[in-house]
Formats: sequence, structure tokens, C-alpha cells
Amino acid sequence: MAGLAAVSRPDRPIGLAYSGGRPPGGRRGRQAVENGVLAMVVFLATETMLFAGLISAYLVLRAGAAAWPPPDQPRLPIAITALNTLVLLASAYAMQRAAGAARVRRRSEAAGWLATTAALGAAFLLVQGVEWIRLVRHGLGVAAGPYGATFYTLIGCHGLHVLAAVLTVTVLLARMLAPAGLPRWPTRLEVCRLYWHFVVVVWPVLYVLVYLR
Amino acid sequence: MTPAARTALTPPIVLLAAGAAEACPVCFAGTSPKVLATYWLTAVVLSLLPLVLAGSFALWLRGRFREAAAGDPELG
Repeated sequence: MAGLAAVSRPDRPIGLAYSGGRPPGGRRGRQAVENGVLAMVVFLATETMLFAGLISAYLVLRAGAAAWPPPDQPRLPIAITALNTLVLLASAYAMQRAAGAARVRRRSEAAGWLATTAALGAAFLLVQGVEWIRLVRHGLGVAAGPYGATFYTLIGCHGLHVLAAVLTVTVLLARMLAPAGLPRWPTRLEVCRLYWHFVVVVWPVLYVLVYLR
Repeated sequence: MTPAARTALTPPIVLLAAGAAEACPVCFAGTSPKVLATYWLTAVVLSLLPLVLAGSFALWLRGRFREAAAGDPELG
């Protein structure tokens, strides 16, 4: 009977593998799910719950407010953030192209698309940072009440995730291009791709909820 | 304090502390129906989301293992 098995491989001490019904000590099972991919999928499930919790808190606080946004608070930059949303969506496209190049083991092409992805992610963060500075100058701080607190918590949490994604992709890129190379770089790129797409998918939801509603 | 006494005293202390701190998460006395409806909706979503995630994860894992089985020359 086919099933899960802990398999021993030189580069992966323990893996979730399809054993084909043979005992782990027999022929090595074919890896059904890479360890890194499996870990990232589980991690993204916890991240989904994190954002669901934050969005729920935001919605409950918003429902209890007499006016949202409060009349004395600055309005959020809808147009520039819409353009920024397109930048983030473009980064997802670049990441997808990088993953496509990785599947056929085209390292230089994948590196080029990864660099584009990281640059677009950094541009998104830069625009967000500039807009935040303007909002703070107009009086929208964390201590300005539930409006400011929820805005910075929710959007700031997402910004931290984008920052982590940009740093991860940059490190992966640097290690891919290093003279020593990086073993199993397509798998690592696949893990990065999952995380990047999660960060990109969350953003339009936040944009609609926080900026447009 | 004995473990039995600690166990017996903990629930009333927690209940009293929550009341004093007005920290009861489900106490919405005096709030609007809109807040109650939003709270109810988000509670339902947050309760069901883990089940959806776990189910999706199980289906995805099953698909990956079926792919692996289909690619196994000895079983295919």
C-alpha cells in the first residue's frame, strides 16, 4: 500500500516521500513534496490566520466607529496606492517568469526575473514609505485613534512581509550568482515564489478594505 | 497553595478579573447591531477558516502524492 514515509537522502535527512508501499529501508521513495515547499505551505496557513485576525479586528473597530475615516483625519492616497498595487502585481508576474525559467534550469534568466521581482517589491515599499511619511505629517499617527492604529498595524504588517520577501529574494539571488553557486536553487526559488505570491494576493484585499471602502 | 485549591480558585478569579478589566471578548452590551453583526460574521469566518485551510492542505497533499504515484514506473 502506498503511503507516507520518512526517507533518508544525503541532502535531505528526513523527507515527506511517496514510498510506493515499500519499507523506508528499501528503494528510496520519490519525493512527492519538497521539504521547503511543505514547510512554506504550513507557514502560509498560519500567515493567513494572522491576516484574517487583523482584518477581523479592523472590521469590528470600524463598525463601532461613528465616522470612518474620522472627519479630522487625512484621507488615504487612493490613486498612488492603486498604481503601487499594479507594481506589486507586476512583481508577481516577474516572479512567475523566474519560476518558469527555474523549471527548465535557466539560471541566468531566472536571476534576471528575480532581480526584477526584488526591484518591483522595493519600489512598492519605497512608495508606501513616502506615503506613510506624508500621512504622519498630516497628523495620522499610530496614536491618532483606532483609525491610525488599525491602518498602521494592518498595512504595516503587510509592509513587513513585503520587506521580508524582498530580502529573501535578494539573498537567494546573491547566492545563485555566487561563484560557488547554490545547490537545489530551483526548489529554493519555488519556496520564495509561494511566499511572494501570498504577499501579493493579500495586498488587493487590504487595498479594497482599507483604502476603498 | 495546593494544586486542588489553585484549580478551584482559578476560574472565579479569571471571571472576576475579566469583568473588572471589561475584557470579556463577547460582552457587547450597549453596542450597535452593526458591531454585533460584524463581530458575528468575523467570528464565523475565523472559526471556519482553519478548517478550510486544513481541508485544502489535505487535498493538495493528496494530489501531490497521486502525482508521485503516477510517476512511479513500478506502480504505473
